Amino acid sequence: MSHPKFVDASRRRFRCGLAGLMALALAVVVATDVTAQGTGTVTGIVRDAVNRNPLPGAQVSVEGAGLGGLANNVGRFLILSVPAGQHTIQAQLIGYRSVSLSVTVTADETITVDFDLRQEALSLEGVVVTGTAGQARRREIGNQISQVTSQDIELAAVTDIGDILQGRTTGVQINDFGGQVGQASQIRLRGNSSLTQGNNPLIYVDGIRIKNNELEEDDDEAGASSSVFDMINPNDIERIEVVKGPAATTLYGTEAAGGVIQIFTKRGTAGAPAWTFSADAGLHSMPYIGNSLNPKSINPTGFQMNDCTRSQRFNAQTMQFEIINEREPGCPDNGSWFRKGYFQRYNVSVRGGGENVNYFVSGRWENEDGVVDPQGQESYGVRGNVAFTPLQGLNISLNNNYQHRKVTWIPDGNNASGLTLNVLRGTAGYTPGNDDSLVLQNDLFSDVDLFQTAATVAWAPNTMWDHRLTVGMDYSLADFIDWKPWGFYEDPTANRENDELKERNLTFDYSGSINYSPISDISSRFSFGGQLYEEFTYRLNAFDEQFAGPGEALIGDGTNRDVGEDRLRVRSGGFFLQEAVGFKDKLFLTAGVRWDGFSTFGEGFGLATYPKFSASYMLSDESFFPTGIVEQLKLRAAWGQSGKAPGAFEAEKLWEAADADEQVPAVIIDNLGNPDLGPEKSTEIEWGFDLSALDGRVTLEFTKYDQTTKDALIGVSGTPSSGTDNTVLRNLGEVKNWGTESALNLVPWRSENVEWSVGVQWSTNDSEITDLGPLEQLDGGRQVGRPLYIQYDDVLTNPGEYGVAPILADTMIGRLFPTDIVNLRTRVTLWQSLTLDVVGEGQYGMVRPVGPAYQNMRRTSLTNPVWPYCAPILAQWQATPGPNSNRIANSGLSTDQISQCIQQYSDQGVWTTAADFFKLRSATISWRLPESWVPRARSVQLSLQGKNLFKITDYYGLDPEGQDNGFEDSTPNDYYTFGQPRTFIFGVTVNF
Amino acid sequence: MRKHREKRMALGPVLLGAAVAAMLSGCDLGIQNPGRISDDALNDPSLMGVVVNGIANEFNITTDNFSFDVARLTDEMAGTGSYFQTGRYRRGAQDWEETNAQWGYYHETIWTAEQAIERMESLEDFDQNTSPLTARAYLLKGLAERSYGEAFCEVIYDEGAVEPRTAAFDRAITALTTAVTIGSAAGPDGAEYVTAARAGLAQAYMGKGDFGQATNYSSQVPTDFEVSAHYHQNANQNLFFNETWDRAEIGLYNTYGGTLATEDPRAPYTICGTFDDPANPKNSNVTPTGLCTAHQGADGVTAHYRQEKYPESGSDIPVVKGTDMRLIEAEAALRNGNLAGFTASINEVRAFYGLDPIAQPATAGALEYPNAYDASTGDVTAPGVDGWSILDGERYLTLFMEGRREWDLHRWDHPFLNGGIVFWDAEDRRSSCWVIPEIECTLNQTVKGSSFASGVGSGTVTCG
Repeated sequence: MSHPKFVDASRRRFRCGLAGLMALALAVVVATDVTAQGTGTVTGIVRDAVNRNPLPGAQVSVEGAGLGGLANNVGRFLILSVPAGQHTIQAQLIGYRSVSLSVTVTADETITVDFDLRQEALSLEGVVVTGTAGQARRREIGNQISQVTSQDIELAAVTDIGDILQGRTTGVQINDFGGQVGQASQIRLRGNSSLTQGNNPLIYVDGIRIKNNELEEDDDEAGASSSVFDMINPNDIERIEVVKGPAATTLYGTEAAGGVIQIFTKRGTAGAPAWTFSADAGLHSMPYIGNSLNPKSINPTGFQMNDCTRSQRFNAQTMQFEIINEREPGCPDNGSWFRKGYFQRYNVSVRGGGENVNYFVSGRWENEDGVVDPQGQESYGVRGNVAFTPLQGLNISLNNNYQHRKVTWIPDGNNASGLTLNVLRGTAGYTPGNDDSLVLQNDLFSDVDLFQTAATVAWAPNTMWDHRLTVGMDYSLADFIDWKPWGFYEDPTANRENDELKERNLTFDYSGSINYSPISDISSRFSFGGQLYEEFTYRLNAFDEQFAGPGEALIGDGTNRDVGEDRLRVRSGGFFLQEAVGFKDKLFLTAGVRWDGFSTFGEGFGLATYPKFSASYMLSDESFFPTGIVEQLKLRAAWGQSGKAPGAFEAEKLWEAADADEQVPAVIIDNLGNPDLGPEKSTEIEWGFDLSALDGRVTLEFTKYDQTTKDALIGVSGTPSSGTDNTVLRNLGEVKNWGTESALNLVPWRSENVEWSVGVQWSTNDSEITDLGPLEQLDGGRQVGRPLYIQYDDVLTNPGEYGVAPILADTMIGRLFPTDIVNLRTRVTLWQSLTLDVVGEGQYGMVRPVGPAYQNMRRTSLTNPVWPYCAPILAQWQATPGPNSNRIANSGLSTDQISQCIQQYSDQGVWTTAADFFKLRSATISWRLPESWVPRARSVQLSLQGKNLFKITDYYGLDPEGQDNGFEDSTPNDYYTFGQPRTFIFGVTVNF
Repeated sequence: MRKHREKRMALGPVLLGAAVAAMLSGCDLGIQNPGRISDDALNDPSLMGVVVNGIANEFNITTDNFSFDVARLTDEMAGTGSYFQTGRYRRGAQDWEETNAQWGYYHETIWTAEQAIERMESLEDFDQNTSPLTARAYLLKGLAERSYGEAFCEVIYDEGAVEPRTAAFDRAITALTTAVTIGSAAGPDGAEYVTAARAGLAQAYMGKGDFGQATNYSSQVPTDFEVSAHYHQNANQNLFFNETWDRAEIGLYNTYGGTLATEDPRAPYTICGTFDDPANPKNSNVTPTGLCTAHQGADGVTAHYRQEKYPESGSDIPVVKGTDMRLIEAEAALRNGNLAGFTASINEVRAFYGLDPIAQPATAGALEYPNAYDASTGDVTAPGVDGWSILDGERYLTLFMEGRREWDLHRWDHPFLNGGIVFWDAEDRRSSCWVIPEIECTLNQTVKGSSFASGVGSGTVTCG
């Protein structure tokens, strides 16, 4: 007897997929003696309850019988030899709410049970692996962990992988620094906890650690940089797990204080080959840059970048701007420096397998034009994931990924031959005759090959033991070219730079666990393991100039060559122990410790030790907990440590080879060394709760965390008069970093044909330097009592006064990272086929120096009013007879106006402003065509997506996320880089 | 049986943990990176050449940066660029947050020289008393000390107390005297170092105001002698070149050198752009002359007058030269009221550069700003032209962009310091020497509570 609600639909589909079912018979993962008497068969399909998509990989089990299996690549499952009688069948999948159904199995009969699973923000039965040894259910974990699943990824308007996490998880800040395609984003998890050692999170893909910093040295010329992270094909991702602080990253040890992002790519599932083909086409379009509503904006009229057919001139007599219908020299034919950037992407994948082997293979190709000709990128790649099960309990998986990408950049940012800089500065730029198109003759491109391979052996000889060994490599080869051709205005005899970067990251990771129950109601899981990690970097930088003539020449063809080689090998090794104890499957206590050795530690330091403790308590499972509204309530707390290692050469006294005089060899001091150097150690305590109510229609997560980083690594200059001010890294500082993360998800409406969900996430973060040892202050005004990264500059101290000179004084203007991030999301699904998904993100509490404001102000004259706001003020100033003391007294200008627009009384700090913003990160309409329309396909889905469709901000610079120093830099500065364009994507996905 | 299994369970992880630990202990976690040299590896007599070259590397960097900053801070060059410090230095503003780098450069150069000397003395197979390398090490240390004394209002050594800048001159004299001794013992290979050290001694004694000793040493240096800090396009690059040819951060527009009736060979330049409305340059576009890559300053508003003294990234910056010696002698004569001797020394310099001699001025007179003396015409009869004006102009041009101008302005208390404007504007009183930086105050416990000369008139800053 089958479940009455699902019987008809499942039977129909069963007939349609008869051939598939035959294949499915081979894909049964767990089966007992098929000849047993008095048994029946349970089969069915697992689907998403809202959009009806099948859910491959969903786990279906017969409770208490030790029977179960995985749904195959079209969501079907089959469980053989189920003893006749009453059973509870449960279906679960990460990111979905588990469903249990009661069935009665009759001997020698097959019953059909279909499951409709609903996505839920809080999935406490789901299994996670990041931050814990082996794997654990979320209910057992004492720390907060975020997940993004492939279902979320499919609905995201994605142009790079950072888009997936943007606005979808608490405590995660993903900032897009500019609008060039191929440009990486900056990632911060729970803000910043290191003053000197970078704050990028560690990134793992299928268990191997990959490069997490900049890929090429292109930010100097392009004002942008790219990353390996961005080269991972979003279509290959099954899910992403994010753990954010030392309490959760202890087992990753040194280097993990900035958090860990772990990506899991798709796996094969049993069944006949299931093909997925997707094609996307779209365009990037740049709105008016700057804030047209703010009179201080760089671009209130939209001229210059957006419209180069006209310009404006200031008439000092009438104090009015006049429109000059003169085309700017070099202005492109379409009248704008921007164009529509069209792109196309194609992705094909197949997954399938049998009893002992399964596979997932994918390939992609994409071509993408940026919004400025010739900016763009072309990329392609293939992935092959294969898993074998040669013996029961032994699984071997091999994951291989190759990606290639070529990005053509335009010169931009803080670059005298940058496009935005020269266009916005008008005739005060650097290009001869103000022909800014000349800068685009500068060829800049990076050609990157990425190869990642991982082999994982998982062995569970019995229910007590399990082992996992992962060995892998992340290998990238980046070739960056900066070619200023023959006749280039800056260097007519041409010059060429070639930066070749090879990076190889090797991971060896073993963990083992013993599961046992020493007494009834108590479970125990003891884990142990170790990791070896080696990072090898090879860089060859070559420069040549003064070439003989036209044509693209190579390094060596010129007459003035310079070359530099760098090789760096950093090794680390660590091992850990962890004991997790569960009481009645309600209270879970975990304790662990990791020891690390690191090649960059001083000889006198030894091993670094990082302990951790955590507790999780399912309060709602207690008998005294009231039933009704709240179904699940989990209390959790965690305490743990992790670290950040010093740089490769910091511990030893070393000299560096150099050139002197007419290029004769010399040695100069490189580093005085510090034999006691060790890692900085971050300790975090976090606590919170997870709540689910009203049949999962309301979920609430709350986390509070406090981090303290001791032995913070700070470069301490020797007292210069003692001989050298060579900076020695020392463990002497202390910083604090704290915040909260709240996530509320509601399903206000749920019916057979309509489901509407709303999510609000609010993350807070702040930091403070609490100790700097003997130092009073670090660069950038960072001192005890102030946050880690601030804008410290001269600001006006006597605003609103007339007749007196402005007085500027150094002060902390504000934080450079947001104190509050708010994510808003809503999703509506109609008739189980039409979905609207909208994600917005707001960042608040930070400031940003508006580089173009200050620099253009300094270049503003009445004939070249490149900062229009200042033209009338300058005219008023100049109309008053000198000297300046008279102008101050009699011009009628306020101290504010003088400090803003009269160069000698101004400063960058005056042009630093709040950078709060709200952006619509992603909006998607997705429609799954009726099955009858596409009889030869399993499903066809159409989508229309928009990214960055609007922003709300008072910021008057180019973009509140603007940054030209590359994504590793923690002192963002809006400096002549244009922001992200609007993006529209039309996509078709066909599943066969 | 059950007990036995439990025992195996407990033993398993221990064994595995031990295996992992053993694996890690066998893993070499030492730094294995090429490209760096350990301190001990340098204790080899055959490496003393590269060790001394290391001093030169530091010295070249120090000289380059300091000379560039002096040009921006004084009337040598107009700050036409966009660097933050260019704007401040153009006005003559400088505070103790801006002197960190140069303070560090000087001390590291001196420290590197002392490390090298100490290493040479410690090597049994190296005769430091007769080696030209040792002579050069002392020479570079002495010249760095001399320049340090000229640059900073006050000096500090070895985390000690604040001392008058003459302490640097004293140390320079000690080092340079040793350089003369060892260089002389080294024979012909040390001859150049001996002459250079004597020139440095003349400069150091002048720094102390002892013109008797200064001229004693200067007289031993021929007019055509010159020792420079060396630069190379692939080694230490000349900052002046990079900042005036690759970008237009500074230029000669409206400077003394740029406003002479005709161009002086000691301060050559090219006019790269001209103001469309020279009478109203602040609101005038700049038209390129087509002679340069950049026609206007990096500030986007000022016509660029590109210096030609250092036309390559490998152009060298003179540190001691015979013409400087003649000008020291001219100044000594002027101070002694010997206008004939003064004029003779000046004309020796002018002759060296192929310039017509000047007539003897009528009076010693006094310094003025702007200077009425036009070195290109040599007219000493023009109103306001006198001995001091001539010395001012001749030293400006002869030592142009060599990092010496600020010291002259300071020791003469030049009227330019009182609000002198090259272009745009200036502080009422310009900074004339470099203040001890804040970092020294922060780290040096000995100077807590001391007052540092601020470099602006008689002003001070307190190291609290």
